[in-house]
Amino acid sequence: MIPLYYNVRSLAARRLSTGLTVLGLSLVVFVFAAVLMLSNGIESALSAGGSRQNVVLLREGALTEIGSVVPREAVAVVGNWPQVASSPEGTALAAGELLVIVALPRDGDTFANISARGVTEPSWEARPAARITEGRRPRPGSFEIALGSSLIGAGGGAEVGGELEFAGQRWPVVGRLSAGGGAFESEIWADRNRLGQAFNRPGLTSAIVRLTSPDAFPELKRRIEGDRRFELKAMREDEYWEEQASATATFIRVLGLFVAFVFSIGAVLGAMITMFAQVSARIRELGVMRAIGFSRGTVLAGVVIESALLGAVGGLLGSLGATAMRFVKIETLNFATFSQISFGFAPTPGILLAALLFGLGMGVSGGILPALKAARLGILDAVRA
Amino acid sequence: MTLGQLAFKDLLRNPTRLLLTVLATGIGVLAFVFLQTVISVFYSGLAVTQPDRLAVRSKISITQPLPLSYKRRIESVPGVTRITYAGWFGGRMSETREDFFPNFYVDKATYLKVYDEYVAPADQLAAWMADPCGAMAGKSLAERFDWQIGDRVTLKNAVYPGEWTFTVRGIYAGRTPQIDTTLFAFGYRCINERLPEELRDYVGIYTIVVDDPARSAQVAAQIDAMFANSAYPTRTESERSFQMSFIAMSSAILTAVRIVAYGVLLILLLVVGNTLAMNVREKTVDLATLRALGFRRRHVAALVLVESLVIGLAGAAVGLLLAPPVLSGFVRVVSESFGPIGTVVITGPTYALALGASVGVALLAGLLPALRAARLQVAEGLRRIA
Repeated sequence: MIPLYYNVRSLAARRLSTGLTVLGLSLVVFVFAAVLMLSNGIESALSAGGSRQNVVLLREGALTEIGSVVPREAVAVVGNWPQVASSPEGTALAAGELLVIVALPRDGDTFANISARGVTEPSWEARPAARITEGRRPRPGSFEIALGSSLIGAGGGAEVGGELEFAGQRWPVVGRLSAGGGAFESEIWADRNRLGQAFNRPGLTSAIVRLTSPDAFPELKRRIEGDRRFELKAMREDEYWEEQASATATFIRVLGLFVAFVFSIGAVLGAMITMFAQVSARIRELGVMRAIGFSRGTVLAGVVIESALLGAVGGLLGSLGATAMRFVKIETLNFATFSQISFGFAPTPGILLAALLFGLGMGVSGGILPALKAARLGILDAVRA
Repeated sequence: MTLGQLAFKDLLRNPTRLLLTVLATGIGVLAFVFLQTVISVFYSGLAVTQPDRLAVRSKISITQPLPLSYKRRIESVPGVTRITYAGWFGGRMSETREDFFPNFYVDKATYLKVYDEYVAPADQLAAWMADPCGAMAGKSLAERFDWQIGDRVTLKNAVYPGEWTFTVRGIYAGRTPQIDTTLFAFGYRCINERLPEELRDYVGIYTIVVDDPARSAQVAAQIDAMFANSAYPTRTESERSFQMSFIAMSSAILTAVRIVAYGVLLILLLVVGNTLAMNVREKTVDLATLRALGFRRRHVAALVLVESLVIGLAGAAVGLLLAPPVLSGFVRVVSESFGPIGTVVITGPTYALALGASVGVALLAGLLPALRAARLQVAEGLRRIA
């Protein structure tokens, strides 16, 4: 076996080529890892808000709350079922909600589409994850609102103590809403009846129901979907939010992975160029190695290892760079709900491992052809070269 | 032997490396074209906007409707020559995302007078007009589901309850390739009559044509002032800024795609630069010999730059040849697993940009090696063993 030290030394002998190749490989790994972290970030941002113990009721055939209508009677009926949990005071944790989209001005001429959720008292009780971290809850029946924490500081009165203006009303901001990074952090929560008034929308778009236990879901689903009075369907809240994320996350993932794949071919070619140069510059050296008894296999392995080393360093640098992206926050339109969501790059050990392996794989595949060339050298020709 | 021939021979001294470099450049160009095209798909809505068209929608939010009664009042504003309305229907054939397509209700009598970029044969147009529940389908949409004239399409909808059956009466094409031909449009009357009282006579958005684009700001202000204190205030803006407001919402993703596109160029720079630096290093003795024979510094530098130019051009050729088939393959795979995406075409400017970027990057990559070659000390170069 040729010692690893030899490989490191020979790479170091051509600093410029090695450096350029490693940089190229690490850029590819960076894109690969960043894309995975981003789509993971969207999914965890949206699904973090959902509880497995909660059920979202939508009209049959609706995919989002915006495109749904739920009759008030249905919420009253469901509230009496034994599967539904109650608050300590004894009210059923089933709340009809109204989701509308508000165009809020944002720096200058542009504006952002923000989801505004009309809630009632049980909406808060049903979602322990949604907490007020600054200020207080809006008083029921008032125009007060709680602002999702990722909307705070967006300007134009978007802060606790400030005031927003939309739908011909002034809405004082009295609280900052946090939800463990979930989608609610990109929402405005207001009193349902006041919001309905301002938007001329007396109806409900959806309902949230807290179960006595997550296992009660199949029974509730069977009952509500079997009830011919209402054409409703039931979804677990966490699954609902996951589905909301899937279109945007898939878009980013498909686009990003395709680009990373195309890139990787380019980077493999780059590694190949470098390794071919390494081999042809060292023909005599390799011949001597063969002459003193190293086998073809060992020479082959030596070149591949050297190339793998390039890939490993590139992979390491690339994933380090991508991990640094976690301090960047991104805001974009969610195609499914037509409103802004805010999310970040979310690294996981799995993604980092995949990125390292990806870099290593590129290095190895770039080294194979040059290694074969090195291994095929005739000893005499090589030494004479 | 001319300098050109010499450069050519020089290029071929390491054919494997040349091939690999050109391939890598080609793939980089391919990725660049791909990303630029993705960006242009986002902006494709802008390409078809017209300066004399204005969009009137609810000021509160895009999902809030406007009363149908606004049509008369907007029409009466001086400067407005034509008006039409439309709205998002959002029906689905099933609950899967895969067979989703955009569907709208429109005011049949006026829609195509305002949106004259959609064209259909006269007899189909007449049939569409005559049937209240007749639908007009875009060419690529009709191909996707293999619809013929006379086919029935049933959509389900959660906001407008029930099942809605439409008959395909016409198939439209676009005046230019950028026009979206994935849409499905039917008359507002067809659904309005069946709606419950509280939903009836509300539409999504009005589009107006003004006689003088220079006065459009004034017209817009007048319309918005007219409804400012009503329950349904409006926001009127040019079609272009209306489209821009949608693009702006995805701006973070677009920025990321742009950054990646320039990242591709950076990788190209590294790969080509690496190759050229190697070539110069290996040719040190040859270059020194040339200099000793009386060639000037600029000749030697030109030799390297010609090499980089050839790599850049050849790479661009490979990439641009590969781009259309790869892109259409990508579109096919994506629309199978993930629903349709708009009409995707690689535009002329994208080709030109990619060609320019490839050659530019190759020349940039050749700059340092060329300088190094030009600065070479003859005696030292001759002494050196590569």
